[in-house]
Amino acid sequence: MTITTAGPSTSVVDVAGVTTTFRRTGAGRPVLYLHGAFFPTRWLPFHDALAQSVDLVAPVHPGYAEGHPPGWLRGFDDLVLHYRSLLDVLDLDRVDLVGYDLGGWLGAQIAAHYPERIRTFTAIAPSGLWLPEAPMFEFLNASREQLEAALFGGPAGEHGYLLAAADDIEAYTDAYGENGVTARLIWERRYDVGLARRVALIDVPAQVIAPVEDHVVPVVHAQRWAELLPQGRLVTLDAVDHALIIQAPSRVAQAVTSFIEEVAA
Amino acid sequence: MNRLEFYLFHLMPYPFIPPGEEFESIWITLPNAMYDPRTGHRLYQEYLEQLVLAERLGYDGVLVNEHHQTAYATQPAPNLWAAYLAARTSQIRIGVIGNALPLHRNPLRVAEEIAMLDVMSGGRIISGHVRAMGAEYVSAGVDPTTSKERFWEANDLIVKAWTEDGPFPWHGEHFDIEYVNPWPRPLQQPHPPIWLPGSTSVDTIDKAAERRYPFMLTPTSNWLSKSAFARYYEVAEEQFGYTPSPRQLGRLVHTHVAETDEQAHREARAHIMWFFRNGLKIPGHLMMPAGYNTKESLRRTLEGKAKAGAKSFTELSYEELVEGGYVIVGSPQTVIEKYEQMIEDYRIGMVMSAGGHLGSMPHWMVQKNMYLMAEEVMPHFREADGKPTWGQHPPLAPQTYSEHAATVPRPERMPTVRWDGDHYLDTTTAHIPEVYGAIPGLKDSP
Repeated sequence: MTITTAGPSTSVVDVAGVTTTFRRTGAGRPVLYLHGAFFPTRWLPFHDALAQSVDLVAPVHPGYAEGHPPGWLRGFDDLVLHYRSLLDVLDLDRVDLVGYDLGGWLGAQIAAHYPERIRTFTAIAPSGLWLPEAPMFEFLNASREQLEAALFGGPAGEHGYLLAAADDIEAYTDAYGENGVTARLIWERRYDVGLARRVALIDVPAQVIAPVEDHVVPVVHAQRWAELLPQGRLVTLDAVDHALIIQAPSRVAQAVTSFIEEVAA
Repeated sequence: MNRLEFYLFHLMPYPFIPPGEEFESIWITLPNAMYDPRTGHRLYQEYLEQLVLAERLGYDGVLVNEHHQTAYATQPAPNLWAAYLAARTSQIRIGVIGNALPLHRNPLRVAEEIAMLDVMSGGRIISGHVRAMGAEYVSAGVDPTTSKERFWEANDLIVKAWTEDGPFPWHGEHFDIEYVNPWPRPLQQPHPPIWLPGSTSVDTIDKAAERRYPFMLTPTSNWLSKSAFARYYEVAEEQFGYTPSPRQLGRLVHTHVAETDEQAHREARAHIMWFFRNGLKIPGHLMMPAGYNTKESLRRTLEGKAKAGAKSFTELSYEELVEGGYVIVGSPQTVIEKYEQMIEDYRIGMVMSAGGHLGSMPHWMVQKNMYLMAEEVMPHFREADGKPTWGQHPPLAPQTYSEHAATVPRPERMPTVRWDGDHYLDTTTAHIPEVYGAIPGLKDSP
């Protein structure tokens, strides 16, 4: 298990038979944060930045902590139902929903199915739309070097420790296991042809936060998300790439929380 | 009984590519603009000639296999090769080792094609079943995370399709087919032999031992070969209560034989290095894509390699390859001694790639290797008559019309068509006036 000990202690709840790991910290409006395919299990400065002004609930998707997809996980529908159940278990009637990368893709499906549970929706560099002219970077079959260049738009510098080196067998195989769960979800389709229609049904205050240039999910995706969301708007950040939550945690967190506060007011 | 069966194994590489240091991977990403179909045609003709020659030389079988998008092996559709070989040979066994079952959306296609081949060839087919290397999942776009489940479900569906009368429904976790009823059925009964080719993965070895499927070990060191074959015996004897026949175990070890040890090394050295340095050049992230293996299994493998200080194939020197037993190179006497040692150490009864093509080896050298193997090595392991296993048994299907008429019962139903009313015509004699004239109204019809 790769849950690091930094950050608030992890809690474990039973969600309809699925042992679910999450961390919760901060005070204010409850925010459900859904991680992406990258940095799925670590507690990050970005989490701390969010928790300064909201009640942050940050679960780990089923399988990522264990390093293999559970047998029951056959697609996004299973995760949508899992998170509805998690909200019930935590007695959270409505949340502000935030999803990064694959978590944005997942969050959109939760919001489309259960809009009554969602106050606002924020998608950070979300993946999942079918835009064949601008395909997502093929990160599941990339070397560490290729992945680093795509995520950070160049050398990762001080953040390099987040990417496992091949000679660090434990970290490398942990990342391999996490990618295996992502593979279960998206290997056969790196996008969802029906997602655009579902995004267009999410009629809640929404924003898309994306880097000006993204080498994993080309920025035209973020633009399209913002167009599709009935109440959507696009916020772009410069000097970052797809790893924006790592590269500029305070700026991204600020964009998230100010939007939530703005809607609340 | 012959003590060792000899199989010619072919990868059909396309060797006219840069050295391995100049490309990322020979699988998946090596630009196919490097492939000239005119040269490919010449190579295919040579490879076909080598495989056909194996019968005349007395090999027990020829083996082809499935790989995709790679110069390492230009044979994405092995059943096509088997069909070609079935037409060009008459008695030798033909092994497809194997079809990559999970890559098929409908594995019945494999059941159908192998049954076709088995009937076409007169019952000479060996049906190898493989999960396929991780790289093939990158090429095929098929989910690697369910590949093991899909493999075993496909295998079981194929066996059932061959052995149980159809139509029957198959409602599996991965395949849902309402009517399983393939025509033709295979000639060999109860079905063509199934082989499981594999590396040293204990999962594969254990399953093969459990099901009594012959296991063919892909190239590795003497040391790992020994533990892999010992595992098969141990699992068979201790968990499943039987002692395997040596014919259930085969080792794929490329062997080059020449007049003297020195001559054999001179001939094979560069081509062996082409195979290991260029032909096996593939980075880990393409070899082992996400979800193909479990985290724990990959960790065990990597830790084991690190602990043993094991090098990857591309890092091994020629001397290390020879000394480690990854390849066998030498005079007939040397080869005989090493094969004797394999029989003693591993208790195996089959050797694959016993003479034949490897890497960039030219046609003439391959043939020379094969002739020497057949004349100088094979007889040592055979009964006094020197015949391959297939020469010791009559063919499964009648070889002549007279034999067919004498040994196969007449069909229960002749081809029949209902004419008018209650009149039925046997179409095999319906063109004879004395037959059709007996049916009212038929005599005068045009």
